[in-house]
Amino acid sequence: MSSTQPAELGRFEAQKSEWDRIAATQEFKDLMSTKKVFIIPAFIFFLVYYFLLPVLVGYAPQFMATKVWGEVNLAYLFALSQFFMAWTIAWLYVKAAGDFDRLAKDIIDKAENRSDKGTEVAR
Amino acid sequence: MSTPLIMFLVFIAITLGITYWASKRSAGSSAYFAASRRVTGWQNGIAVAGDYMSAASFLGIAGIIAFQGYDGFMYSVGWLVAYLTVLLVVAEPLRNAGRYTMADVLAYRLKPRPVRAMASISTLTVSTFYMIAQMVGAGALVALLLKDSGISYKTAVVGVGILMIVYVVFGGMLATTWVQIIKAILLMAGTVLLSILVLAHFHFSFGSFFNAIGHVTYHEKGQEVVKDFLQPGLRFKPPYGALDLISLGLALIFGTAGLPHILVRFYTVPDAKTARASVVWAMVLIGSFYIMTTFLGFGAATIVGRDFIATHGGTNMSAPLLAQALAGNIFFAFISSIAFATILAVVAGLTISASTSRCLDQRDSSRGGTQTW
Repeated sequence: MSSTQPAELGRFEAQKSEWDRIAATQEFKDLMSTKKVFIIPAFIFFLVYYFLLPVLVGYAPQFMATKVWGEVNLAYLFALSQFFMAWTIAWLYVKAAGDFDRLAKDIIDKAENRSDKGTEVAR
Repeated sequence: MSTPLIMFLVFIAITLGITYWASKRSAGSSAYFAASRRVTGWQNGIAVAGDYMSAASFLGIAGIIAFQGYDGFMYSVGWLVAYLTVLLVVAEPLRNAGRYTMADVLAYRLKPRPVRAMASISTLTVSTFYMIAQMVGAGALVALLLKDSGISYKTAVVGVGILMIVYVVFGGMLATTWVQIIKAILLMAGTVLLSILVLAHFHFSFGSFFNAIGHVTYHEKGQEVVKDFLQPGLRFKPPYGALDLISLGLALIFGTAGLPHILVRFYTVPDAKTARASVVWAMVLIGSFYIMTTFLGFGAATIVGRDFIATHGGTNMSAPLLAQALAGNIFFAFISSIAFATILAVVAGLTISASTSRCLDQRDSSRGGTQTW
């Protein structure tokens, strides 16, 4: 599929065979595991943290209605904390993604050097 | 001419100007469907936020909080958290592997022909339902605001439809993106202004603001009732309230990452890194907006009140009515035209994502799914 598509500006596109070779290299496996080490725990954490809210509000509304500061209750504070949780995970992800970009760039540079012959490297 | 009508017309004139400008730059499929992939991170981030903060957010969420308090705010929370799914698992692979539609990515792993057909049906179904809601909102808004100028509900819906087609046909993705950016900035400005006015009404004291939310008075079945609007349970009641909440959460967290008009936005940027940056920009805007629905919704509940809103246009008019109560008719017209601009922009986004899928996926699917171009 993609092998027959023209390359896009500034974008590396490999032939199928070249892609299979890259996918088998240690560098590529390292990239994938580096990504998974961050993404899987982050994904599970945010799912658990988020679904705690509807579960607690749904099944323990009296507890969540406990007033903490004036009229402000646990339910509202926990809901508000979700916004900051989302922003924090996004910020941590962007920091971690710097590493992904570096690893990916190494792989692309190597592949580009190897294949000055056939696969086009952007026009 | 009434003030709202003038404001509507000004926005329409600006957006048509953008469409004319964009039409001179839209040549070729990548330019037309993906704005030549030259949209920058912050531009796309604002446009994603714009696509996402539809009439449902501005009019709907404010209304649901004004009427059902805390349970309405539950929508706001899920609407932002959903972007973590987009950021962590969807945006970058989509940009890396696809070209114009989400089916491009699925076609790698699955049989291209059926998956393109299915993706196209899904895109058209989602867009149609989404669009109907926006059009109803536009019609209701125009009919209510411009009833003196003789524009009927029907004319409003047809007019919005025609404008949409003009934006998309002549301006393509580039015009749609800029219409979205302008609208998002207007929407944020309006929301910030409204929030500040709500706080000013309570003399900038969070204590008295939340105190008012704790004692909201309105009439139910002829009886005066006082309710704590911060307490859960006004909308999601036993026996199935808890399941409703969880189901809502699931729909938001996983559904957002499948919205076609959001996904196509990631094809307008040059690379995956920019796609990531645009999600982060979008999350900052979307998060701030939904936190401010606290002021819009609870503000409408406490300052305007359920009784008044119910007899002056209903739930969906909560935010405009709040504007009227706080700063008079000009601000009412301003907020209403922002809502109208929101609808125009979102419908344009839906139209282009639906037409991209209709055109590319269905064509590729009918040619065996392996057609590339």
